[in-house]
Amino acid sequence: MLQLRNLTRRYGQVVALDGLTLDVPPGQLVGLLGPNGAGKSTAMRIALGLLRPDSGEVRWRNEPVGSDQRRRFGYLPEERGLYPRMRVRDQVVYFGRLHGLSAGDAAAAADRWLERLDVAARSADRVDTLSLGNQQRVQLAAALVHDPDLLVLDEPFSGLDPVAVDALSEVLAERAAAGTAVLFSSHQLDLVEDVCESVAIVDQGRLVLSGVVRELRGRSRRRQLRVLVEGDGWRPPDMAGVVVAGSDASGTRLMLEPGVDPMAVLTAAASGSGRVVDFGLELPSLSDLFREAVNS
Amino acid sequence: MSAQQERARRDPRVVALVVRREVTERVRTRSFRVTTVLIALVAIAAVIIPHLIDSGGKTRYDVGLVGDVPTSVGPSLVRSGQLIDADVGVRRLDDEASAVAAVRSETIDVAIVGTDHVVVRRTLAPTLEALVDQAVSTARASDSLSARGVSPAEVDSLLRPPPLPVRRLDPPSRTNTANKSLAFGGCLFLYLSLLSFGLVVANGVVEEKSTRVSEILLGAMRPSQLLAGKVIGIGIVGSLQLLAVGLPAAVAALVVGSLDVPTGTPLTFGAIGLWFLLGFAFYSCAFAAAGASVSRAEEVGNATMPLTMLLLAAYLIGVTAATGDPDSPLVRVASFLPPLMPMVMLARAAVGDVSLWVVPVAMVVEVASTWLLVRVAGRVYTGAIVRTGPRVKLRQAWRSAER
Repeated sequence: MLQLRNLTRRYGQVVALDGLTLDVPPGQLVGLLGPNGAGKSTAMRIALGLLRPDSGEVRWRNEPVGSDQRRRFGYLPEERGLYPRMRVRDQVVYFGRLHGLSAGDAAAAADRWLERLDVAARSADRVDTLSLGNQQRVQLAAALVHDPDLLVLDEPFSGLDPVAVDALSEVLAERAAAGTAVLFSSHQLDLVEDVCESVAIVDQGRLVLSGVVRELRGRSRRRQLRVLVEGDGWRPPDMAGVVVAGSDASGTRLMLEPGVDPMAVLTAAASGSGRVVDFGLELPSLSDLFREAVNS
Repeated sequence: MSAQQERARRDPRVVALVVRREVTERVRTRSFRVTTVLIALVAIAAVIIPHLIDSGGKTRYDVGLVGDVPTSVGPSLVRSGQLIDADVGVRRLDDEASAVAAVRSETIDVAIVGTDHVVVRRTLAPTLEALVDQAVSTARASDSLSARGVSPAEVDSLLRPPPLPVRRLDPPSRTNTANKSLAFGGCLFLYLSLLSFGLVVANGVVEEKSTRVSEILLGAMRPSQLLAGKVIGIGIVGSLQLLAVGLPAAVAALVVGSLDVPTGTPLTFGAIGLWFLLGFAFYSCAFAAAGASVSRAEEVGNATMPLTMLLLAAYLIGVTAATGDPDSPLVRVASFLPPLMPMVMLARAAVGDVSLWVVPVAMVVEVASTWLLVRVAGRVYTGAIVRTGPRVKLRQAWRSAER
């Protein structure tokens, strides 16, 4: 497990991290989310040992991180991270060897990943002749070639089309399932909503919300049950923790307090006069959760 | 830290991998091959062309002899010509008419008719006039002495007395023209090669920083290992390029016979090679640190400006030493300042009067200061390489690398 403990880091007068604490367990896909300038990249660069924190520490498997462990990490920096004029395969092999693989193992792993990521046909081409999407695949192959224990990806989804987002999430989920601890960052909260199991949302260098996405949504005050009823004289159920948020052509919106069972509310709504013709439980988006956490 | 981790930290294999990548990727580029071939061609041309021009450049005079000219005039003209670096060709002509024809057609410059008069087209070149006058008057004197019964040996000693003894006010300088031009060429070579390879190092560092490749590399090795691999790799490529350029030029020089090796020259050649290695070690680390302080290729020029200025200063003082006064106070001081030393000490030692101990001591000073610079530059590099954005100040980089 990767543990970031009370990390603080300043750049002159600017506070980039203000006591950030975060865990990335093996086998989990953790999204480090937050607006631009929230401190995500700084946290990642400290985790990788590229920057030193002003205070706090980084531990991997309950030990301070040394260069030996660092060679077992894989990193995808924000934008590029490749030699533009080096050939694709040579480059992936090179990174594999630097991370301790033998020449033969590095070559085999490079071929396997380039094949898996669908860029094997461009193996002999220079990186700068590839499209941005393909460059990103090569970059990912370079981060994965030595089969790292921890994978850190800085904004891996930015600039990708929806199909590429799906393909990348699939690979990341696969790595997590294989036991790798995966940490990635994104400033587009809603884009990665379905990708990560758990999130850590940061703002101005502080952690404002963290946990398993499903549970965070369940605990949110912004869950809404929408009920559309045919016929007159229907009244919203008078229950503790249920407030009418509004009403329009798509139905009446009932805001549910944390802990209120939406099924019980729906049953109560259906037992009154009129017939329920449509309903839906609307969960807050990650942006909603973020706003809620920042405002509270 | 465990022993195993300590081993990994010191793993020389990562440095070897970086070196190998630098060499193969650079040698593979078309620009490297094209520039190497071009520079080699220029070097060969630089050897051959002066030789071609030089052989036609010597002054030549053709003299015709008609009638009763003393036999000693011909050899005397040739001998005196050699003293003033002129080729004098002498031929016998049948009569004055054919001499006039030869002068008119410019086959010869002058015809000496007996001991009576000379024939020229318009004017007689002053140098040639002096040569002719001297040869003819010596021959006349010799003839008249012989006619008075003086023996040929006595005539010879009278007309060609032994040279006067020379009293020197200062001991002779070891300077010779060949060493002077070699020292000048050596300074020019060191200036151009240190500058261009220094910039290659700085640009290589910026390329890694701007593409964030450095961030991936530094996950696998320490900054000092990356720095060492880069510098050694580019050093090897540079040396290969110099060999690829130098060997054909040397072969060309041997073929045309312009490589006239005076005493002391091989030593100067060796010194140039040694100073190149020392200078490269010194400057490449400094250029790497300067490169690490910026994030974009466009900023390399500004960041390396102080270093290019230092190199220029070293070159100018080195040339002053090579062509002017190698023992001036400025040259003496500069020849012991590490950034200026490679060029200035090279020139001073090749041309000037230095004691035997000076050059080895200077080299030790250069090695020691390089060792110190590697530490300082390595730390600045470490502190600056992961700081993107605006140019990193020296102090920020230094403090940022505190461990």
